[in-house]
Parts: sequence; C-alpha cells; structure tokens
Amino acid sequence: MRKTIVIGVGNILFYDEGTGVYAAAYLKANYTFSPDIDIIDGGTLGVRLSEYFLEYDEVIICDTVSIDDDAGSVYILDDDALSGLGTTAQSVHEIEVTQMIETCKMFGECAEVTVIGMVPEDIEPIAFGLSQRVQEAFPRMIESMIVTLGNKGISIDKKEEVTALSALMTEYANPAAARE
Amino acid sequence: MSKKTIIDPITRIEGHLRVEVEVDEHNVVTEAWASGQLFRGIELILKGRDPRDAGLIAQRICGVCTNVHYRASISAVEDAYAIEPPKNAEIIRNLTTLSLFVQDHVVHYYHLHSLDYVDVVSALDSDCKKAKEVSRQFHDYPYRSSTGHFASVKEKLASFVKAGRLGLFANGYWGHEAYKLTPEENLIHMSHYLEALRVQRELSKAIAIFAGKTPHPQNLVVGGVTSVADMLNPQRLNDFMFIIKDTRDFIERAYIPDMLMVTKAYKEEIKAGYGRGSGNFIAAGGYKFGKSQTLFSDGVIVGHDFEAIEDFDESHITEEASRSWYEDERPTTPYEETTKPFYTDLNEDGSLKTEGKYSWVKAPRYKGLPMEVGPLARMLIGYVKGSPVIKPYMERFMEASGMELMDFSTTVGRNAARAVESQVCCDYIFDFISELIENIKYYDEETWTKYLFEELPLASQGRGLYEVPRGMLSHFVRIEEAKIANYQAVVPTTWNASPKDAKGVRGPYEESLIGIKLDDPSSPLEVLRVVHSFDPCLACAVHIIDTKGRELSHYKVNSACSI
Repeated sequence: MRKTIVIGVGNILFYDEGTGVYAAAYLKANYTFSPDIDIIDGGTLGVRLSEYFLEYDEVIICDTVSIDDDAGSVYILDDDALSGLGTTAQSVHEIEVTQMIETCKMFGECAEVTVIGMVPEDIEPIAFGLSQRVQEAFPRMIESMIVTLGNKGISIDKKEEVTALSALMTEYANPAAARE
Repeated sequence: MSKKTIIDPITRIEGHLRVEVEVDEHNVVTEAWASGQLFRGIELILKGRDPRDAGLIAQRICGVCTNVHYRASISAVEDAYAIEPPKNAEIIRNLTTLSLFVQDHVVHYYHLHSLDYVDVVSALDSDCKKAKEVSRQFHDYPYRSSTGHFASVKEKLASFVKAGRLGLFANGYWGHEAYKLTPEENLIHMSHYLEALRVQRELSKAIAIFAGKTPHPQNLVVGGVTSVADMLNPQRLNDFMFIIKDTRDFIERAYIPDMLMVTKAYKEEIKAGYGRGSGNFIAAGGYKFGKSQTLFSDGVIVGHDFEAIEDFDESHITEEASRSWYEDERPTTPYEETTKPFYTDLNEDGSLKTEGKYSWVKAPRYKGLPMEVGPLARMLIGYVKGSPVIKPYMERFMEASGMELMDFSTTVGRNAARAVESQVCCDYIFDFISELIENIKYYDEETWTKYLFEELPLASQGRGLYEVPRGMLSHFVRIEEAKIANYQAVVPTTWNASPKDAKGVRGPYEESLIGIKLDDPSSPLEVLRVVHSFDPCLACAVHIIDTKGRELSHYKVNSACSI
C-alpha cells in the first residue's frame, strides 16, 4: 500500500496565498478515501517538508504557482515538470518546495511528488479569504486533486453533508470560535 | 569610483530580503542597505479580535517559526491578564522550544548556509580514504566516517550531478576563490548535510510529542497546554529522550567538528574580524530549571565592551521608522506603536531609494542603539556573565579552536556560537525532562490555570518575551474592552535586519558588511556569507512555487474538464 498525504501549502493571512490550505481543508471536510490518506494544513513549511517527502510514498501538494497565465488557471505538475527548479545561491530566501524535493532525492528516499497549483490573483493584501477569480476556479482545483488521487488508485466518496468553501474561510478567520 | 551591487534582485513579491552594497575601486564594501521587501501587517489583522485568538493567528506569521510565535503570543496575553501557567505547562513549552533551537540550528547550518562554505563540485575530487583520516583530526570518534560511507556519499553526489539534476547546486559559486575547504573536507560536510536531513526529521517527531503532529500546532491555550496525555505517558517521554540522545551524538561528533574544521580553514578571516558588527548585543535570557538555574543569561553589551555588561531592561526597547515605509517615524515603545504603511516605492530600475525610506522592517533600538540578537549574543553574554551553563561549553570550543572571545564576533564566529548553543540546548533538555518527571511523580499533573474570561479585566497590556533560535522575540498586546487594541511583534530578524535610523546609524547586517572585500562583485559570495550567518528569516511569510518562467502549458488542467 502506498502511503499518501495531501499537503495544503500557503499562508492564509495573505489572501489568495491561502488557496492550497483551503483546498486541502475542503478535501478533508467533504470526502472519504479508501484506502485512507492523510491531509494536513502545511502552512508555509520549508525544510520541514522533507519529513513528508521522506516518510510517504506519494505526496500531493496544493499550492499557488507563479506561471504567466490567467488567475484561476490550474496546473498539475509532476516530477518531470518540477525537476531542476530548485536552486540555492543568489538568494537569501528560505528553502523552497522544489529545492527540498531535490535534496530528498539526493538523500535517496523521496516520495513521488505532485504539485497541484493555482495561479493566484492577488497575494499582496493582508487579509483572510480568497479573491472572486480564485473562488470561481476553486472547483477545478478540487477536481484536479480528485483526479490525481484517482490516478494513484485511491477511491473517493463524497460525504453526504457538504461543507462549503465559505464556511471553511470563516473558520480559518476565527480560529478560537471554531475551537469552542 | 564606487558602484552598487544588488543581491537578490527579484520582484517585490518574491524577494523578501534584499541587500544592496556599495563597493570602492578595490571591491571593498563601503556602504550597505538591508531591506525587507514584504509588508507583514500581522498587527493590523489582529486588531479588534478576541485576545484568545491571537496565538492561533500570530503563529501564521511564519511557517518555520510557528511554534515560537504561538508561544510568545499566548504568553503576551497571559502576561496582560496576570495568568500564570502551571509549572508543567511551562516545562512542556520549554521542551518544545529547546528542541526547536537544536532543529533550527542544524537546519540553518547544513541546509541553508553550509553551501556558502562547501564547494560541492570539489567534493567529487576527494579521496575517500583520506577523508576518513581528515575526519579524525576533528574528533576521536567522528560521525559515520568509514571509507565505504564516504564512497557512497561521493557516488550519490556524482550520480546526482551526472543525471543533470543540477537544480539544487546549479547556481552555486563553485570554484570561487573564497572556498577554502579541501576536497575531503567538502565531502565530510556533504555527508553531514545528508545526515542532518535525517536528524532534523527525527527532531520533528520529538517536537510532535508535545506540540502535536500538524505544522500548525493547537497545543497551547491561554493559561497552559493541552497535551496532557503525552505528559503522563512514559513511553512518549522515553521516545523524546531517545531522539534527543541521538541528536546529541550528531552534534558532538559531526556539527562541532565541522565548525572546528571551518574555523581552522578561515582563521585569517576570523582574526581579521570579517563580518564583525558594531559589537552591540542583547539577550532577554530565560528558561529556568532546577532550583534557581537559568539556561540563558540576560544582558546588554555595547561596542564589544565586555567589562561594562549591563542587565537587560525591556522598558528601553523602542522602534522607529524614519527609513522604513511607515507614517509614524518617531521612536515609540511597542505598546504605543502604530502600523500605518507609507510606501515610497523603489527606483525605476528596481533598486532601493537609499536616500530615503527603503524597508518594511522597522528599526528597533535599545537605549537608542541597534542591537544584534541571536546565538552569538547569548553565548557572549552567558560567557561574560560567568554562566555555569554557557561558560564551560564556550571554553571547550575556544580551547579546541584556538579562538578568543572577540573572534566569535565575526561571520564564521556567529556560526560557531550557534553550534555551541546547539550543544548546550541538547544537553540541558535532559534537566527539563527530569523536572517534569519529578513533578508527575509527586502527583502534580496540573497543566492549565483556570480562569473565567468574563471575569478578566476589560483593559490591560502585556508582552511575551523569549529567547528563540534566531534571537530575542517579543510580542506586545494592548487590550481594550476585551478586544485587541494594539499588537506589535518585534522579531529577531527585525533587530538584525534593521535599516538605518534617524541618525543614520546602520542596522547589524549593514554594519557587519562594511569593510568586506569581494573577490568578484558579480559573484558576491562574501556578502551572502555575512547575511546568512545571522540566520535571516523574512522569507517564509509567503510561499508561492516559483516556476521560473518555464514552459508548462502541457501541464495545465483543461477548463472544460469535467468529472
């Protein structure tokens, strides 16, 4: 059995930057999986992504991607698309997703990584929620995740009760209320 | 004639930390500007919220420093309400933070910084048998150092390079004059680079025992912690200790020896004071254990005057914004501070407007002076104050490396201090664990201090002030009518990456860059070394995947697709 995890990556404080986090949360709230998979809110992990790359066989990352295309466009980036994107020098940045994939590959125990990415409209405002364009394209992101999981041999059922994206956004914006 | 070199000339969204330096005709840095290119605005998003919400939202400031922001934020609210968490809760919080110290330092050195010193390509020319001998020069029982092991590491590197998977290493400055390690030393470092990946993964498991598995923890609440079951489970405590023991082994036999190797290779730079700042250091100290011991001492050092060290007094902290993109420029205490963006943009060619405002980072000052925070500050202050915890570790490293106290105040020295601190944290975690076990033994299982929110004062203020891996972290909260009226986070990188102030006094990164000679201004490796030695963290707030303009239309999901 291939151990599978879906990781929602992004920062919900920066509007569309949170797309991946909401997508993972939506999947978790509305579907059941057989065999079961793990779904987590990965936030803005850097090096710590390696834990998942090393522990799992299949890692599906939902995130925003910078591609010169219309906001809301969805891409499914497999190993071939991602290889060679990780870089080190000329930057004082934290380590990137793509860089971590390469490092783990060198270590010799890297999961098969697929990135399902959406082109965001706006990641500059300091605000919870998602832009209209991203909200409209959100079902396409979810479909892409379901298709990808299906191709990996996982059967997916929709739960009877639907949790809407808007409900999830409210929950993230009011964490303490959600906990009580 | 002087000219400018811009490091990290990426767009405003992706390039969070930018450094510009001006060099003279000998390629020596004469002026420097450090700029945070991303407006965080956490303060604005917290205004008007329930104070109990602060921790869960503030932890999202950064994906790497999640746990420490969570803790500082919760503590600020506890301080405002004078709620004292039970002893066990404090120990559990400390165990999490101390494990993070070790994890962050290991990851910083090996995965974020070591390639500034390690020439990966040179490692391919190494002699594995000789590497085994070299590793014995720095420790009697070096970590994984058989000829066979080195051969397998070398093979991995070679096949990686051969397969064209050069992404990771493609734009390193390989072959740069400033690389001084021998091929064998490079190979030893690369072997530890890979081992460190495993070590940090294990540490995540240790942290998860108390902080929960998800990257965004929910184990802390105002008044205590929620991880009670783990506290009472001997098997989990045992797992925790096992991982720490394993990590300690790596630090003692790999990390410290690697630092000895680097300090030896860069002795000249160290003695010449490369990367030395103004010599102002600050630490809030903390982490009490046992009867009256403290892991880190508090203190303030000005201008490397170790004799005149003073105790730290938080009331002297101010922030100002004369060179930062905010309206209110005067120095104020964080409780009174405002966050009104006033962006004056970059020059047309994308460079910083170095005569005016040029950063989103404010300028924190202590008694009006810029201060360096972090492992170097903590180790110097602990040593100078004669800390029975810190001093023996510093002395041991000084003896093995031949370094004097002043030598630590350099680029390489900052890394050495970080390695020494990792060792201190790893060793002393056991004291914190035994205290927890003692408490539980005497049936003190308290982890939450009860309070009724409705009965708490409607207006108050408080702060959470902690030493965290990158330095002194502080969150300040002012509460009015039971809602957050003002919130400010002064994070370690704010201190270190501070821009100039109204008097034109440089921040620590900037000051440390002055006098650095670049071998080749188009490959400014020396500048990266200085900035990386502080373990900068401004980058993690946004995490879009950068596809670097690659043609990817083939991977696009057709909009007509329906399932």
